[in-house]
Amino acid sequence: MSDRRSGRPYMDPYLAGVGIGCVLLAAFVVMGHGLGASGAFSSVVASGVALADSARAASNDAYAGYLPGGPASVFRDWFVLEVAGVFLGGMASALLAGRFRRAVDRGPRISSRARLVYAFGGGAVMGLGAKLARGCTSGLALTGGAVFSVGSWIFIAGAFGAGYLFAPLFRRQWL
Amino acid sequence: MTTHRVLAGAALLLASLGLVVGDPPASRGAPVPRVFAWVSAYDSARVDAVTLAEWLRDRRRNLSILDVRPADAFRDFHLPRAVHMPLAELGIVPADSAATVVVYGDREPDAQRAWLVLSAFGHQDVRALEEGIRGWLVDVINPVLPRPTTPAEEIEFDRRADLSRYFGGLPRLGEPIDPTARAEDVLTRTRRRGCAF
Amino acid sequence: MIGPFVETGLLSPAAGLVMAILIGFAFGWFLEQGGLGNARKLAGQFYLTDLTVFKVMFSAIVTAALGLFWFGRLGVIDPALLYVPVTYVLPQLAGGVVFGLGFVMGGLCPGTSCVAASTGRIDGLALMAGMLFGVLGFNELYPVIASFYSSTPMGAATVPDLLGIPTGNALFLLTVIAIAAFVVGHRIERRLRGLTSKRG
Repeated sequence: MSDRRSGRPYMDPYLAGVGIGCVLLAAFVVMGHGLGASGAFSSVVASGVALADSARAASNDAYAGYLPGGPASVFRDWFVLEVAGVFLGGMASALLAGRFRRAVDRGPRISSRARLVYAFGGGAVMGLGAKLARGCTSGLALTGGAVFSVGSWIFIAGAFGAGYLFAPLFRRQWL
Repeated sequence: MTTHRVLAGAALLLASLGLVVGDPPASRGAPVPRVFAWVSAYDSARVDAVTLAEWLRDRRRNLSILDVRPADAFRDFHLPRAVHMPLAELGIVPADSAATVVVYGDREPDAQRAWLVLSAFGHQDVRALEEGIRGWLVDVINPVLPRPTTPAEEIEFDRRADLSRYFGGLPRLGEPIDPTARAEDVLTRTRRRGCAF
Repeated sequence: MIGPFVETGLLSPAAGLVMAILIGFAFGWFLEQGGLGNARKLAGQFYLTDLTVFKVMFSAIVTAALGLFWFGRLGVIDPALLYVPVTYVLPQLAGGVVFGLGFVMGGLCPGTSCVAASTGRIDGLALMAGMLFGVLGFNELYPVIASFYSSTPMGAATVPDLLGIPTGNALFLLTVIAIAAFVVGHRIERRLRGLTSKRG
């Protein structure tokens, strides 16, 4: 079953995985650390809050770790720049393969509007989960997995387990 | 698919070879040269950042840590388990008189003053953190460890690197940090390396 | 040992920041190439209709783990200078469960949501907005959950250290388990495809 309605076929998932593995390896070899995504979102939020209300940002330990250089340092944050790169790379790949399409990816039994509400809600829940776990699939599962971090495997087990557990609740959205 | 078999075969081959050749040799290191040399009457009441880090990691009992810096500095970054007590408000620490109380500030003179006050209040084991919070950042969080040349130095490097990583830091190979670097610059360089904060 | 390059000084931190964009570009590229910018494809993992997420993630982890091991062994990088995420057992388990719920609800993860958004998918944008909201919410709730958040720390624990085995052994086990899982996944897909075609 193909979900694409246009463009070239997707790359073999194992090859794509090996490609990502090489990218992850490159990050380690260049920087000594791996990839990340949720950290970039955290930095942006911390900067935004610091700009809007610096007293609030300073008084809450949750923001402290992101603020040493002040709000403007978000542009020098490695992970923010990396995520900007992700954005560009995804766009380039889609354009070249003819897969760029303004659309709402959803199953046949749900409306676009409902899908967007679920997407927003899912994002909010993941934001909470990623902060609590100190990472997401890129920063904790992939990066930690490659260095055999105990926490990353705990996270993977929890995430996949919960995914399968709660999947029936959202069947209508996808199938 | 043949590509898949090739990939799987290559992975198994590399993994099996890894099983046979064993782990990379333990990394090596040499002690970081002491940047500041303090000769003072209270020399035995000082503690270095690495020792403090080991106390924290080993969950040493009856250990209190006091941060005597201004409140906003404390909020920006403080040692694990540290309690804030600015110099001007030093008083009795809620701890056993026999407890080990470690005080730290931006620089050692702040801690030295705190040591005097707390000892006067009757605390028997007050320690000042050498080189203050910079010492923590430079020696524990982001230690710069030169290449070792002997097996003993290798063991030392391993110890320092493990300790650093325990606190979420990142050990580095190379030349020691410029001793005149500002603490804020050192702190910026020790920022998190992943999605954690 | 010549690497990691920015740690040993071979590359400056500024060069490292440039590399961030390039590395991110390659990451986004491969994610899109594998179809991970498509929420339906990703969600299919949890209905067993499309195991792409699993295949991509674990082949990536095995590839990188093999690479890190051998680069360390051959002296290209110093393994002691590699960042290992800090383990907090309960928060990461709870965070994983919450994250998994959000994942099957939203159909994209933080990284892939950027890919979806950059390829025109509005649901990707919606998810990114949700993430900012969720992060903000966590930060505002932080004082309440701070003690749970820092509970059960294990430092930078690794599985080989925990089990008392060499990293090479753990790597071998990981590779074997991953390949076995891929074979099982392949069988599951074939059987489910067979069932659908019989009906249709």
